[in-house]
Amino acid sequence: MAAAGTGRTAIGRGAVLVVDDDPDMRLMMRWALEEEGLSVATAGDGRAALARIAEQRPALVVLDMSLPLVDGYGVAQGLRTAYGEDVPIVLVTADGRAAEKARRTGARAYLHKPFEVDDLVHAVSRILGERPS
Amino acid sequence: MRWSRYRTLSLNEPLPLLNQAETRLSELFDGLQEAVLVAGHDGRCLDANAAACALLGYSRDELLCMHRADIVAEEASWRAAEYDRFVAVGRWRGSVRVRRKDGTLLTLETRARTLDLAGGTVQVVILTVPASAAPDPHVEAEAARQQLANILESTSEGIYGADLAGRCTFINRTAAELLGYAPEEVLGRGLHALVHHSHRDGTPYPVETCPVRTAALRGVRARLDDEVLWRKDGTPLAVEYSVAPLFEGGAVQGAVVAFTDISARRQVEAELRRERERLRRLVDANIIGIVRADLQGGIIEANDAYLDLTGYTRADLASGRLRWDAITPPEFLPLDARAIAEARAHGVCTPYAKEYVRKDGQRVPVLVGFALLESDANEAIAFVLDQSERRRVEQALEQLLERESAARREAEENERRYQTLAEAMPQMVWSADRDGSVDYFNQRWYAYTGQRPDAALGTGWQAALHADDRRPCVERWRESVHSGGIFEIEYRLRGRDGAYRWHLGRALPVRDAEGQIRRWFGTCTDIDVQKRGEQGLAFLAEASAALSDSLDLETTLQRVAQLAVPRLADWCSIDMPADGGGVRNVAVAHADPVKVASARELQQRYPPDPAAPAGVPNVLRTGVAELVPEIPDELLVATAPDAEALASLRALGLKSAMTLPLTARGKTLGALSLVWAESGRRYGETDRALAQELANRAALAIDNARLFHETETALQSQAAERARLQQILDVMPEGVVVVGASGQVLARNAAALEIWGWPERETAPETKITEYAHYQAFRIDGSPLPIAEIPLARSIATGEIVRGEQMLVTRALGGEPLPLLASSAPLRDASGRITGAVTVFRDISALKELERQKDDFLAAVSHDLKNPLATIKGLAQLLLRRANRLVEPDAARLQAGLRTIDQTATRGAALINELLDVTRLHMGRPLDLDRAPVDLVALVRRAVAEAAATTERHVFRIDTRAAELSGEWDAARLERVLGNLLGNAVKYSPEGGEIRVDIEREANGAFALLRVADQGLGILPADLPHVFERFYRAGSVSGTIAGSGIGLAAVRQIVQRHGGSVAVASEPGRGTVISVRLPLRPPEETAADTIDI
Repeated sequence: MAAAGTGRTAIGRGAVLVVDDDPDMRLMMRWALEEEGLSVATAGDGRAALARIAEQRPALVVLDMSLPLVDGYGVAQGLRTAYGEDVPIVLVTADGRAAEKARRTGARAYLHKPFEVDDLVHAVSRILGERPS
Repeated sequence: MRWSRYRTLSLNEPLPLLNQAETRLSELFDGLQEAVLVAGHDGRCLDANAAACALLGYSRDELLCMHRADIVAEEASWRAAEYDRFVAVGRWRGSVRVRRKDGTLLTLETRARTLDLAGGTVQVVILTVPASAAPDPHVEAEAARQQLANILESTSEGIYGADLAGRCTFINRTAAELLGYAPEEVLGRGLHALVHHSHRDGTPYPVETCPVRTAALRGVRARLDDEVLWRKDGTPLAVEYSVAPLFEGGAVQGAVVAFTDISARRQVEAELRRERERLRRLVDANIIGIVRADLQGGIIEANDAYLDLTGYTRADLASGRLRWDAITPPEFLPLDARAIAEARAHGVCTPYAKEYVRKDGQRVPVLVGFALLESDANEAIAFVLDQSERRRVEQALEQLLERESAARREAEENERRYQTLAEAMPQMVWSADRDGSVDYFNQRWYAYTGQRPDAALGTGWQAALHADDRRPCVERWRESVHSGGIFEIEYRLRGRDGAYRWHLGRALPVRDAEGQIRRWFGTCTDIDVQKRGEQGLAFLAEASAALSDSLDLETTLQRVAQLAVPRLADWCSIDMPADGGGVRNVAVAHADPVKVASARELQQRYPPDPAAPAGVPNVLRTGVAELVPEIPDELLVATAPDAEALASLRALGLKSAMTLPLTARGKTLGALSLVWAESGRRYGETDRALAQELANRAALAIDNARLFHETETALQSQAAERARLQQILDVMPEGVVVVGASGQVLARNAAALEIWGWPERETAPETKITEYAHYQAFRIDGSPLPIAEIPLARSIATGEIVRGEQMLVTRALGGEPLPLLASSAPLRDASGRITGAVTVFRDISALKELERQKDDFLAAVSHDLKNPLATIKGLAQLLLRRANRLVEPDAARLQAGLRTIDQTATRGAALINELLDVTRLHMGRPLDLDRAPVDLVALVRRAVAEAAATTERHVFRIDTRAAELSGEWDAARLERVLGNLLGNAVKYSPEGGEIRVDIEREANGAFALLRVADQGLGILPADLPHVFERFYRAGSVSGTIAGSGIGLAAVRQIVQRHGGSVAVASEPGRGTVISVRLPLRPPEETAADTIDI
């Protein structure tokens, strides 16, 4: 899935990359973030996510941990290999160990599914807002 | 000091003042230009000033030893002509020829006068050189030089001269000798560096400050008496020296030094100083009476102390009322006379004790000593020491001595009394000296032992002790004598009749005032009756042990018989009824095996008649004991079947006998015979009671042995039963192990061996389950399971019945730990005591595999369920945002619908979470906490807000002092805890009311405390213990209020997993309080177990 780039690009360089294997989830998160005026790209599996990351440096990655082909840890590792600590991750997971996973991947925030849309939006905007552009 | 030589010490004058005056006078005296001599009325020189010394050529010390006749030429004629006039008038003036030390004669103008001082009369003589006598310089120059040389060599003073550079120009022989040099060693050398380089204390003496140099350079005279000159051998020489400039041709050309060795004088001075100090202290203290008196009883002078002592006043003294002879009681006058005689002979008397009668009539003891004055042999200086205090001390001492001797007399008296008492005492009493040698026995000892005093005293008493007791007793006695400890021992003492009786011997040391042992007192008390009773009991205990030891009848009885000898009998035999109606001997005992054999033979040759009216057959028949205290010869005659037998019987020397029935369960099983023979003892009633007791026990043992034989057969059939049981056990598919109370394996089946993989050898009886080398158990989460916590152990320890508990056990064969489902139950005896436990277990590997699959499935399902819910929720929220911006009338309904979708999705997700947790717990999986910093207060506020939205009948109140209370917790799970607790509070207070949530930090700071209180239905006491059990629902609400019964179970699991605890308190009809205690920091984790879903 290619980057939509429909909305205003708040941060000039790169879009927010949403990685989730559930197409409905991807759609929902994309809408939520685009409503905030963010440019959103999506990926449905780990490998696609890594390809997208290689193609363009994302401003932030919203990362589900259980992914086909390459799991969330793999994606996080690829991201770190490519850009170091520069690209923040917001971790999304359905199981009960989000905090630990967040520590392991170096994610800046984490959400349990199902989460409040506001929480997602706030987390993403806060992290992007902290970053000098 | 010099002054006081001719001046009687004014006894009451304060000495410091005296010293000052003396010093001043002395200086003045020495400073006079005229030569002045002071002499006593006897003509002896008492003092001379510096000018006199110079004029006469003597040193002062020399002059002080001299008499007028030594100085005045033709003194005798002068005295004859002039002296009386001088004494009468007190003045004299005229020319006197004197002889100087160098032998030259000088005619001097002399003025003399007598001077009355307090201490007596002195003569002061002033000498002047007449102008006409001044020598003619020209005529006398040569003579003077010669004279000088003579003087230099003859004087006892050391003299040397130095030039302006300090080099030695001349030195006389005395000086060279005193300094240890030969004159030629010194001449021409720098004298200061040679003999004057250091002060007395060894510090350097700079030449710039040397008076010799000063004299030579500046013409200044000096006289010093506190310096030292250094001898050739390095030792200091204390000197008094004067130095004067040496003029030649009107100019100073050097200096001359004259010195005398004063080391001897220094010593004398120090001695005198000490002496004076001593005297001064005495005088100052005014404790010694000092008196100047004549030998006739008159007192010339006395100090205050003397007046105090005698009680007279100074006025009495002045008026002559105070006389020492008057105040001396007549009986002491001879003593005084003797002392005076002694003083006349030796100058002083030996101090002696006498008494004075005071003015008030009281007598005062004194010590008196005196010396005659040199100047007046009729006068004495006496010191008088008040002895009252000393007399008192002496008197006290005398009283003490008197008391001591009284005490000694009393002690002696006591001892006599004690001896009388000892004789009167009903027990044996003795005493021994400190070395342990017995020196006294009372009459009772001699009466009992039959010993004679000469045989018993000392160590002879030991002969009366039983041979077996002698050694320990004597040793113990020696030990006590050595250590001083109480002596106490039991021993047998031979009586006059040769019989021994037990006695208790005791002895105590008697110590003197210094704690030294003076002697010992002892007693011997007859304790024979008690002792025999005691021994009997000890014997019985021993016999019982022997009897219960064996179940073999013959052995048992033989043992009993042997036990009885020699304590209860010289002979012991046991007989039982024989099958044919006769009597069968089963055991015989005697100390001598030869005698046993002959007794057996006798019995075989003459078997007892079963119908005999007395003896063993009778006892066997009737079950009544027989006692023959004294066996008369007639009895032997009556018993013996023939003459030979009688002879044999008589040879045995039987004295006294008892035969006792062996009765058990109302049946006479045999007879026990006890006989005293050679020991000469006799049986009495007491002995019979003891013997009967022994017989009873023996009977019981016999009975037991019989029973044992009977039951043994039965046991054999039981063994067969057991074998069958084992077969059944072995076909069971489940492992079965039976263990005893200490964990030893009693039984196990084939399945058990197979499942556990136990080696056969380790399951042998007596092996304990805790001792298996390979045995290692784990909890289902993989943490080690201590042996004490395995089901079997718990059943044994606490009686717990364990139903279906999972555990992992390593197998002997190795490999992965095996999951087991184990149950166990205690085994109890009839009294309910736990005697062991049985465990049944099976391998549930297959089951576990199935569970794992279920687990995976559930995880997958929950994950798949949450995603759609998350989407639904997210989209509902997004749409709700949109709807919020709409203004159409339909917007409200749209919003409500979307909100419901959102909430339902949330609830669905919560249910899935709960379901996951419960499933995990059900499978024995621990919860994996997702710990992160969480603020409990915020969490509670959110949960309360959510709960409040679900009800309108309840009022919520949050009570917290802290604005924030953070800990490391799993926020989602705590939310569930809060959701459950608040949900319950709402649900179980259907009438509404207040729901209060308290949050606080525990005082120690390590825990957060959360309380949720409602005012609802409450929980019945019977249900309280179970509310946290899974699927448990209280009877009161079951059927009326919907619920799964997993809420509180989940709460407890989550809280415990956090390391916290949860408690409930409730009152039916009043409400319930659930308290949760959560540690702020995670406790140390033992098992690391994370399973990703």
